[in-house]
Amino acid sequence: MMLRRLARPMLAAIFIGGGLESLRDPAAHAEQAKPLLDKLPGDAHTLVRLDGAVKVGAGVALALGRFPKSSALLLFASLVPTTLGAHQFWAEKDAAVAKQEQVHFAKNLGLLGGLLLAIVAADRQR
Amino acid sequence: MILRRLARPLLAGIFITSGINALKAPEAHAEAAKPLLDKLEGKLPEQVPSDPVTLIKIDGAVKIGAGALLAFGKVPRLSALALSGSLVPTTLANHRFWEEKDPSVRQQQQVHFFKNLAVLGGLLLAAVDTEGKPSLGWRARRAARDVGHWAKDTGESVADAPKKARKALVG
Repeated sequence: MMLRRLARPMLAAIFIGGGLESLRDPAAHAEQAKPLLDKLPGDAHTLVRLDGAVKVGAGVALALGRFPKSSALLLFASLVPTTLGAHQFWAEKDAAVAKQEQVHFAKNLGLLGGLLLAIVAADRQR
Repeated sequence: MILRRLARPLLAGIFITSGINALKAPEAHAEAAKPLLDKLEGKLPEQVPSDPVTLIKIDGAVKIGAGALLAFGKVPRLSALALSGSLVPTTLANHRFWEEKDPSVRQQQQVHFFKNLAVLGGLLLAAVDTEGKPSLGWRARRAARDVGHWAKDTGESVADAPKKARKALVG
């Protein structure tokens, strides 16, 4: 369907961009997600790079409408730790920064909702 | 389906909160929207109020109303469409990253721009999601096909009528 072919690349673009950023500069992203990464086993930079690669790969696939369900599911799985790691507004002291992080948090929840819809709203010929 | 019941409130949440924020401080939001509104000056239809604060208040109310409806799955497709209609000017007003000089602010605004674009994509998916029920287009094509069949049947009976009549009279 026409609108779905338009909606998927719109949904996917932020992940492709964000994934490329993580691949380019894993150190900065590892720093941002430190509270969460410290709890995980494995090298922080490797985890960030791995996550970036998943975002780019699944993002491109979703944008092109290849395996849309599986790629949306992968992006969903990647966005949960990203959101919990990078936008801990509740732990932020500075009120202005906390506000910013809260907006990002809420927007990421919106993205998660969009990805869920990409999973359930599969194509059917009609 | 359970996933829809989860997806819709996730998608709607940001609109409800940002609508409430807009209603709480419409002046600040109107100030932020000024560059876009200045560009649109004179291009909008007469019925659209020209006062920026009024526009922000209307937009905030639409976001809360349509957001709540989408969250609860009431008229979800129409609400998603209303939210898309509100998100486009909001994004163009608040996140003009290409006009930003400071690289770090520019980067921030660019992320917001692309996040909003993604949310818009999600809203479009919600707007086309018929939950497995046949779409209007499918129903229209189907109805057209049925009408075609009826017309053909009727035509055939009419064409057969003289033959049947003669048979009844003669034979």
